[in-house]
Amino acid sequence: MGAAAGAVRPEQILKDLEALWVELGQSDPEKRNAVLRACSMTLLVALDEGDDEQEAAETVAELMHEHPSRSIVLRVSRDGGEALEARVLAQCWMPFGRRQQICCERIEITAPVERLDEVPRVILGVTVPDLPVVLWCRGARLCGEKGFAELAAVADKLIVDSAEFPTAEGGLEFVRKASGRKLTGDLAWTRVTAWREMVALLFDCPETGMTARQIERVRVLHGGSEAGSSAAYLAGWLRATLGGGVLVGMEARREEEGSIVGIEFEGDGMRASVSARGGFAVLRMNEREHRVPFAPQTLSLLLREELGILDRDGWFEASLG
Amino acid sequence: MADANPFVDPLRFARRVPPCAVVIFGANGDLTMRKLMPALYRIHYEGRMPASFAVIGTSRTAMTDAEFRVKMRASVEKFLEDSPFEREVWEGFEPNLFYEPGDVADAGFYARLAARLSVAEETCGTAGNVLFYLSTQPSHYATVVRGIGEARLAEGAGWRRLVVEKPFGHDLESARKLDDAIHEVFPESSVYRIDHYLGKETVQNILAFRFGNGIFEPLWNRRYVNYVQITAAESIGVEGRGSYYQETGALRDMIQNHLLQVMATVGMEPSNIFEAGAVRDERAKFLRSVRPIRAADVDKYAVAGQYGPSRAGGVETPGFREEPGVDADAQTDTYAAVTFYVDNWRWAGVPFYVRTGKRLPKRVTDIAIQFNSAPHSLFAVGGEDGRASARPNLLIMRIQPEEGISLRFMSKYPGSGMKLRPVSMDFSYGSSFGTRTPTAYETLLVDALSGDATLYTRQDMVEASWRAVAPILNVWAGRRFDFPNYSAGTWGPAESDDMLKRNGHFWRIP
Ligand SMILES: NC(=O)c1ccc[n+]([C@@H]2O[C@H](COP(=O)([O-])OP(=O)(O)OC[C@H]3O[C@@H](n4cnc5c(N)ncnc54)[C@H](OP(=O)(O)O)[C@@H]3O)[C@@H](O)[C@H]2O)c1
Repeated sequence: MGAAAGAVRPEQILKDLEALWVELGQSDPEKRNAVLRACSMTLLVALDEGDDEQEAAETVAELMHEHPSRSIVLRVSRDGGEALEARVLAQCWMPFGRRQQICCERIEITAPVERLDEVPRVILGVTVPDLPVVLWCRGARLCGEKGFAELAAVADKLIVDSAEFPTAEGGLEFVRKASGRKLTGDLAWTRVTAWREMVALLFDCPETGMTARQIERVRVLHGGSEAGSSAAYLAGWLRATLGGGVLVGMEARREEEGSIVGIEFEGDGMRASVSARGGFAVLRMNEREHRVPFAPQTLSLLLREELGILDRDGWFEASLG
Repeated sequence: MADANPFVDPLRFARRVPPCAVVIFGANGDLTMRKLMPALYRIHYEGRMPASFAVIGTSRTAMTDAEFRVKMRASVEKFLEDSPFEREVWEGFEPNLFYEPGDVADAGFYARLAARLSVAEETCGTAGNVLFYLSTQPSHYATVVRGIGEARLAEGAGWRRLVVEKPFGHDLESARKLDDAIHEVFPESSVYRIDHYLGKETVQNILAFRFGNGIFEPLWNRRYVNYVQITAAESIGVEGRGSYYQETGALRDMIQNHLLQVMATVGMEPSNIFEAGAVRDERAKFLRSVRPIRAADVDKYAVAGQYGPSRAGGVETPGFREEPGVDADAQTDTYAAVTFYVDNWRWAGVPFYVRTGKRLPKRVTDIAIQFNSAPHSLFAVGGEDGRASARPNLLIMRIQPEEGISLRFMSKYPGSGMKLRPVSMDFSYGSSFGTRTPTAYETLLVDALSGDATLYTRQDMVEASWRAVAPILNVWAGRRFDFPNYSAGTWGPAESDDMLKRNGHFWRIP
């Protein structure tokens, strides 16, 4: 019994999921190690026409290991098609050293942009009861579509990437508005965590005699000519942490790539800096220099961090201003 | 007093270790190579080590810093758990490793160590903070502490802490003596007695399960719980450590420390805050409530076992007495099972069955909470084996392997009639959190270096545990057992089953 062409019914999706589990259970002929169903949330992923579907699929697959979820991947098409379509599948993997496969459910829905407003009602019928719903909106354009607000209303948390917006200010403005309405995460802010951690580490060395109180001026160094939203967040965070008496500025390093390329601190008898070099952060405290592993921030690592926070993040709000 | 660092954000990144030096006594030994060095490397790998640190290894064997580094690298490559070895990260870690040879009984050695520490403070910026780690023979503990004291190494600009590995004495009296020797040099607040079971994620998860949820705690008492079983089974034998094990035995090696700590985690009252003092007070209170067994009752409440040879699947397994270094008539318990009672309002009358042994059928550590049966058997005639309906609920917390929690409950078998079947609802730690879990030593080292003693044992807990097992040890010490009394590869001696049978209970097969 399939859905009528162009129509997608939540009950049908749920039935298809049930059938999928029966099939997965039967795939083990010995019936001893039937698959383990894992789910800690509903992860709704909204992809626009032109977004890299392959990258998104791989990212979701990676996320399942730490945040096993029922994922709902919504592809919004802009090619004039009319049909709303859905299919279900399972993602299974065998954890290292174990004998039982773990499986997560995936629902894929395709909808023309004109019918985006019909999607939330379908999604409401297929979210996992009593567990959080997180919406990750991959592209910026979709966030401005009619019907997006209703889609976001289904979720407990919205995750966007302000760095994907045409301008940093536009992206930050969107995030400011969204976070006034609901729990919001911004991957541009998540990218700042690794830098913040290095700053914390820099001031964890009392033997240098260096404390945050000595700081008088800070420069956030960014690549390219314009400061992106991550650099803006970092500067906002430094202002919020250090208070009004400290001058926090931004400086372009045109020849370098990356939204943030370094941070420099100056003050009474102190100079310190953090910069990134080939998988390491270089921490300089007056004459001392140390290298610390500095993990590359893949999309799935950033999302992993955001999915782990389902409460308000005070520093994020303070840095957003 | 340094200003608090305003940049830390526990919501987003884990606690980091302050600048410090770690001095390992026994750095040429098994524990350092298997556990400590891989843990320190991994903490560094995660970027949680401070920018300024030094690790100074010591033991008698002559080695240069360079030779020590080569040896440590080989052991990290070999023993690192669930994690890749990365050359570049090692190269960032290695320059901070040093080695100072010497005998712990030689006063000159501590003077050299003091000089090394000053150099480390200068060159690595360790800020005068020093963690001394006793990873050498327990018989050297008091000597080392005295040496540290006499060389005034327990004082300085930063903090000075001491980590003590088990065993904390071999009975109550020696535990007190050791403690007195330690306190001559270090105050209690600087002493970290390690019980690596408490550092295991899954043992910590017992607290999360009990006190982070509202529905279990109301059932967690004598009114609903019929009995508790704690099993720590090993499938291996003594693995070349026969002569050491011969002097220790299962009761001392496992129950007195690890399993009584696990039992305290299962049975303690909630503390009002999650802070070292408060949590440890509750653990200690529980351990003090464990009823001492009278000498005359030891045979009723405790069973000793020793494995004999066996042959299974074409493999010959020697008995304990045939192991290298073991006496031909060794009286050592390679298996011990004890029924404990806890004299408090929550647990009065509920038996806690604790067993551990070597050469059991498999490696497993778990805790089973057996609840009372339903008060009235509505479906008494159901069930194929006539017993199904009588099976009470069972909650199992698996510590290793396949960490997780299962709840067994009765369900109707599909079809007409009311046939009931026990089914299991499973939570698997690994599948819900795909992340790598830190090893117990990683957790405990970060805690000690950061000054958090929540997961460490305190002297009053150590003494309470010795008091709980002392009567058994005393009776067993004066006895000649008819060993061996179980075959390698079986679940222990029949007397252990009889001990439970007398209460109408039986050991689970985990
Ligand atoms: N191994 C484990 O998994 C484990 C688990 C839990 C607790 N523990 C406890 O941890 C401690 C260490 O255990 P282990 O297995 O590592 O022991 P081990 O392999 O025997 O190592 C002992 C270390 O002490 C050194 N040493 C011996 N006599 C010395 C002396 N007079 N002066 C200076 N150094 C001396 C030895 O090196 P040299 O010969 O070069 O001097 C060696 O480095 C013990 O208390 C044990 O109970 C071990």
